[in-house]
Amino acid sequence: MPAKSDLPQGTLDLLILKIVALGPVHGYAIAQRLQQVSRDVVQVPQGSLYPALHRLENRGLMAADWKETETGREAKFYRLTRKGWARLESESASWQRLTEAVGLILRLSEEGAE
Amino acid sequence: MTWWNRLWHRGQVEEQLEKELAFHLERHAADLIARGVPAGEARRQARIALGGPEQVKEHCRDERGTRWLEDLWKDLRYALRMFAKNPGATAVAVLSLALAIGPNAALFTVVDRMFLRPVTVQGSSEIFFLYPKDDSAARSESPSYPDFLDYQARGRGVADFIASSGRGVTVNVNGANQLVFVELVSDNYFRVLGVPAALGRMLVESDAHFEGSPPLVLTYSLWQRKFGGASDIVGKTIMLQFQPFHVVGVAPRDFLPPSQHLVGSDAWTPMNAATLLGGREAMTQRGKGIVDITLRLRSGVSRQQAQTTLSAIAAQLHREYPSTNRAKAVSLSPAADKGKAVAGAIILSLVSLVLLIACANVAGIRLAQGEARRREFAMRRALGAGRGRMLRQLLAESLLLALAAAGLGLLLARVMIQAIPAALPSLPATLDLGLRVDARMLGYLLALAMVTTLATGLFPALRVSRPDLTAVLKCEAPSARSRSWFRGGLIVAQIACAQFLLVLTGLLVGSYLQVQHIRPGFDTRRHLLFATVMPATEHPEANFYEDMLVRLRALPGVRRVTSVGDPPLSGSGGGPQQVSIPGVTEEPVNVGAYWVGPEYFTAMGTAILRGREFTPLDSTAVVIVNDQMAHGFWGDAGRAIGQFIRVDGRDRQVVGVVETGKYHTLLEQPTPIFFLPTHGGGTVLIETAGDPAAMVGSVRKAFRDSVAGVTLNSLVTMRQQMGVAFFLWRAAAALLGIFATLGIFLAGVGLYGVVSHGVTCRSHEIGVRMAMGARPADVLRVVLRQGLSMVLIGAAVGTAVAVAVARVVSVLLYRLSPADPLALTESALAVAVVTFIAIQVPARRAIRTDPMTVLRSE
Repeated sequence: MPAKSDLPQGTLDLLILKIVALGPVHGYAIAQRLQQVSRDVVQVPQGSLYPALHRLENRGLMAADWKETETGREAKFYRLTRKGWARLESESASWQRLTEAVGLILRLSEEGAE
Repeated sequence: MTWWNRLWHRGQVEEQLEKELAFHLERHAADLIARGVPAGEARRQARIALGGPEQVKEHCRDERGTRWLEDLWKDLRYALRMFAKNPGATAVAVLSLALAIGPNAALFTVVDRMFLRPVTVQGSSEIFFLYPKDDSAARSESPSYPDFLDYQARGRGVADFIASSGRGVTVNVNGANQLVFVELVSDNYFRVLGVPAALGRMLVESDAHFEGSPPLVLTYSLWQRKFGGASDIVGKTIMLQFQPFHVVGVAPRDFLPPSQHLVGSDAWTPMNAATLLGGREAMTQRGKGIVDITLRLRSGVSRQQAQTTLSAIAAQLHREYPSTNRAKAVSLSPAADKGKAVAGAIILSLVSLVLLIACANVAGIRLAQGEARRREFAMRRALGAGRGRMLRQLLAESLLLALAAAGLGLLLARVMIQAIPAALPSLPATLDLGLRVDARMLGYLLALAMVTTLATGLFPALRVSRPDLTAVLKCEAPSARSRSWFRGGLIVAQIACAQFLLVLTGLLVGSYLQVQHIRPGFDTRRHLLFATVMPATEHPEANFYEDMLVRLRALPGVRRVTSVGDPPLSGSGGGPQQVSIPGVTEEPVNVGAYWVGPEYFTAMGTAILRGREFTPLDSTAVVIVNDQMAHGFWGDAGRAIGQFIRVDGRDRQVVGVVETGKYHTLLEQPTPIFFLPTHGGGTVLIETAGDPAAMVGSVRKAFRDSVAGVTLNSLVTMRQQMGVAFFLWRAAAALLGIFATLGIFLAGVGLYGVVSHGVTCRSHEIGVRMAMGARPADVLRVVLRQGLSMVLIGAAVGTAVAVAVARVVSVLLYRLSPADPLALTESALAVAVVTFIAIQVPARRAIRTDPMTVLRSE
């Protein structure tokens, strides 16, 4: 089992936006999916998931509706707003740039070490 | 969901949060059970994974962004409960603050109207008054209408020029004639000022060429006062000076045109209406200074550039019309005067000292309460409350106090504002300052409340929220030294502020008393009534005026009846006339002139130094000069008699010389003045045998019943008439007096609180001392030493500062040095009396301490 790593600052919001972008989803499912998709590498403390969801909702990046689940229970389903889509796009782009840059630097130092 | 909704539907939001977390736990547990975990264990694991539900909820609440508002609401409710527990201390605090805030806010409306907001037109910084500057005379004549037209035509490049010329006229409302002031304005007046109408429209350029009745715009005040704010006023015809005028609009309520006069106008009409209101001829004469010129600089033109251009025009006019236009320069004075704003700010900061005194009281009370609550705060601290959170709660309490005081203060201010008009001197026309509670005043009130919150709350809050945890929880007594040092400092500051105001008040009262001793060139104790009258019909009978005088003379108790155009020191009259003196000065000079009736000087008690006064037989061929003028032109009063002066192209012989008086202000330098005979002026002087105030009713009745063709406009005694001249001193002294009294009263309350608290704290020590044989005098000495030292330091500081800054009011100081011994003694006495009262109650309590009771309570 690979070591679990902490999330870098600010990335939780991006990950949540990405998962919610796949379609309306409730909080528990978001937690599940984060874990599954990252193959348990990313361990989201569930206690900080809900404050993050509420933060994104209050900032107008996500909206929420109460809907029935397949088991007939009412749950709060989150979906992206137009502002949320825009944010997701810009955040992912800057994340890509950052990781590429970090990768370049790492390779550079490896080459230097050789 | 908007933040407002989140706040408003807080219950619903909480419910949903609960539901969401419950759903999460349930699903997690269900998943674990499906994997074979026993039900109880599954629920336990799910809860562990989520974390403490209350903590998660708290974090979610933090993310709502309305947290501070919810907290504030909670804090305020808590504060309310705290205050309900201490109703006495709370009432003292709120009342202290309200007593200071109310008068401050009321005064603000006056200062705002008189100093801070003198002109309410757009871009008022570009607006200037133009005065031609005559390099010989101190008082320069107003420009003439032809001058205005020349400045307008030649100075077009630097500014837009507007002219106005005011006059009192009769307005007929519901059959009664009343005096109002109408301003004749140039065609471009409202275009240049840029003012939208409140109702109808303002005057426009084409109004100058009216046909039939002239268009008229009313002030909001006149519309309300005389026409009851009737909405159908526009389009109506009203009678001014017995001529029909067509009302086209009403100016906005807060419109205050740039004006060089204290009494604003009541209505505006085009300059051409002079044909109906009189004075048409004067408009064509270059020698008649009858208009005020105001100008708005064109954009990009500096004041200096305009000054240069206008001086060049003045010099041109001087060359072209040497006999009339002696002004070779002009002076520009800004309509939005910065000096006025500074004066206003000084007045407001002087009186806001009272608020500081009240704040010091409340800060003291809050500090004492805070000490009593140390355990509460230490406990909360120990339970994990942040210091910022506790600070916020303490400040919320101060905020609530300040807001309650501001509310009460607002009520007080409204009462005071309504009382102000009654305190103004009686003038022939209504002086409507339009004082009211407006947005600016409310803004000032709120600002005061915020300052109060910080001033009363910050220091006590900082102290209380930083308790020494272990000491408090172990029930140790707090160290009293720093606290009593702080409260002692507050008392010193309070006494200093109060003493400062008292000394200034003493100086002003002293000046007022001194000013009353100035002889204004007549006897202010004469039994005189001043009646301003105007014809009640357009074409009064030829002898209506003589008829009036005869009927008034016939009244029992009336000694003498004469008249004067405008009495001296009334704020008008004595305007300069161009005169030349054959043999002395052929070039005309400006000298102030009054029109007076027969026996005027006897009636006024003015000394006739040489020659005689006017008689009913005198025609326009004679003139009387004052001593100053006689000395100036002929070197001696005796030599003036029989000389001639030329006024309006006619030579008049000097038949008398009278003492020099005061004409415009009481403090003016001796001014040359001459008097022309009249047989009917704007003001009738009635000399009575007894108290003139007792005659007001019968004179009024005589005017109503037996004097036909005349409307009595105002009737005042000599005393009231002099009230106009003394008004500035009286108002300043009364105003500062009110605030100084409030200040020393509030400081006394604070002193009482501190000394009384000190006696309570030291009752044990006092009891022990008395048990050991201390006499009451020894106990008294201990109590007094504490209180008196604070008072003495405070009084010394306050006096020193007052003497140093008395220059601020030096314009109002007359024959008094800032360190006037009488003023200092008076204020010291006031402080001493208040100190005695404030200290003697707790001191008595200290003496009556029963040693046995104290020792038993151990």
